[in-house]
Amino acid sequence: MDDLSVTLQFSGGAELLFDNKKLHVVQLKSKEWTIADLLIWIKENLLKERPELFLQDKSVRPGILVLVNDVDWELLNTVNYKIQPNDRIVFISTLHGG
Amino acid sequence: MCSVNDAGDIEDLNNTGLLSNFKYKVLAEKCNKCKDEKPCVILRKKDAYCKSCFLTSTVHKFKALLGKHKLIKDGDKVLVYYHGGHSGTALLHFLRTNLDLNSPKKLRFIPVCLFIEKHYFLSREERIDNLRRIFNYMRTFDIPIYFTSLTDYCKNGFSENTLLTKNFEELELDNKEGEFMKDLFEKSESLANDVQTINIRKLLISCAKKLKCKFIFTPELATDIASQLLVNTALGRGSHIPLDTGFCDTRNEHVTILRPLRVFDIKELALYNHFCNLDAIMLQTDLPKSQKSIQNLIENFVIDLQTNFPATVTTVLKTGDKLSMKKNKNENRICYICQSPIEVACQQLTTDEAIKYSHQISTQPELVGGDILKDNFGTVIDTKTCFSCSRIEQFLISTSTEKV
Ligand SMILES: [Zn+2]
Ligand SMILES: [Zn+2]
Repeated sequence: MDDLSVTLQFSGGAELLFDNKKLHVVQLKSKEWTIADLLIWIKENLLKERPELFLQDKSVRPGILVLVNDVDWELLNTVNYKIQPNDRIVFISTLHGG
Repeated sequence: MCSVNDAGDIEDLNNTGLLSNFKYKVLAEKCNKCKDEKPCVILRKKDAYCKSCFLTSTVHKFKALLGKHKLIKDGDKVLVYYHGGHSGTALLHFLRTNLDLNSPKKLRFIPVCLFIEKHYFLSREERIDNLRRIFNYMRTFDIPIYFTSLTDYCKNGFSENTLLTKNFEELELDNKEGEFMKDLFEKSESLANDVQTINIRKLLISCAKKLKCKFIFTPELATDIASQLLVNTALGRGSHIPLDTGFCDTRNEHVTILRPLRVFDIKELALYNHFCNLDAIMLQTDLPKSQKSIQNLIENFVIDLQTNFPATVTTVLKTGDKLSMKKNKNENRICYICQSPIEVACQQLTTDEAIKYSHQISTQPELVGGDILKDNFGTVIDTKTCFSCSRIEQFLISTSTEKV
């Protein structure tokens, strides 16, 4: 099985937690990945400081919206969604000002 | 219980709370509106829309709210209070796209934006950087923007001559100017927040007059409105709820404040911006939220409700919308601080009067009995402030005398 390539996008101020970089193309080691696994991976590999501003209780902090290929993750079983090759996963913070 | 919201959708208020528990089981297959496309957005945990229906209904909701009230005439100037964030961007985009329409439905008023600089707690460089970003951002929407400073306004004794300029470099950004606000916030955050809200409103109206705008758009969302409603109740401003939270605030005879985003929540607008490829400006505008003020505690509570029980926020809003001002015969008695009508004595004792009465009888033991109660109202009516502002007045006086 090949590595899983996914595009991560952070906006609405969430990018400030990721070196102010909005786009990250990442390669995940071949296995089945759910968003829950991805969040742990993000915490260990991308999130340098203050993970509590992004994560809470094995999910994202309330107020951070998640879309997979422009579909609200609430329609995709949230953390249980199984990531597919070349998925584009967007994290939009609504916590930084109205 | 069913109700029809502004978008014309029927909401079942009884079911919405429970639905959140089943959200993993009942996933919508089709868009609620067109019943055809696959949904890509789910709002308030129950309304699923496809992308195109979502975008259409969001714009429709905005225009329906403006259209319902029919207050703005063609060619009127509207001051748009911009303070960054998803809500500001969505509002600018609603305006730009609807002004550019080539159909009878196009908007025909003239928007002018205003940014109020009030970030004395940031460094001068950060503040200039904020202003420059906003200036450049506004050019992409092709709407003129003016800048003014809240601390400048307060320092100049709320003078009409406070600088209002298109050139942000002219603003005085001396960090000392914030000392007064800092002192206020250290004494009581709740009262300082209240003072700040009142001063911003005053400054908005003053700028609108100078720019010959008859209307002001402010960007409060549904959660802001719900918070304000509860804050008003907690601060003794219950009788001002319709003015502080309704669609329009008519306290000033020349300028009307409208709240065209009060039917939206932040998720709708953040996703609207995302689907329209708009990047919002996130300013580091607020002090870190402390737990020390009534306003912040209530805001956290409401945001928590919005996340877990979104129907409750709708209920708070709808309850607030049913409240109306008591018709005062004595309409010309206006509080000099917040410009709200002052309650006049009526048959039933208001909380305000009850508090004053018990204060009087406990400090002046000889005044007891119903007849004297009536006499006392005579003096109470002479006050120049509403109940809540009488607290602010004492607080402002005590803070400023301490400084001298
Ligand atoms: Zn649809
Ligand atoms: Zn008042």
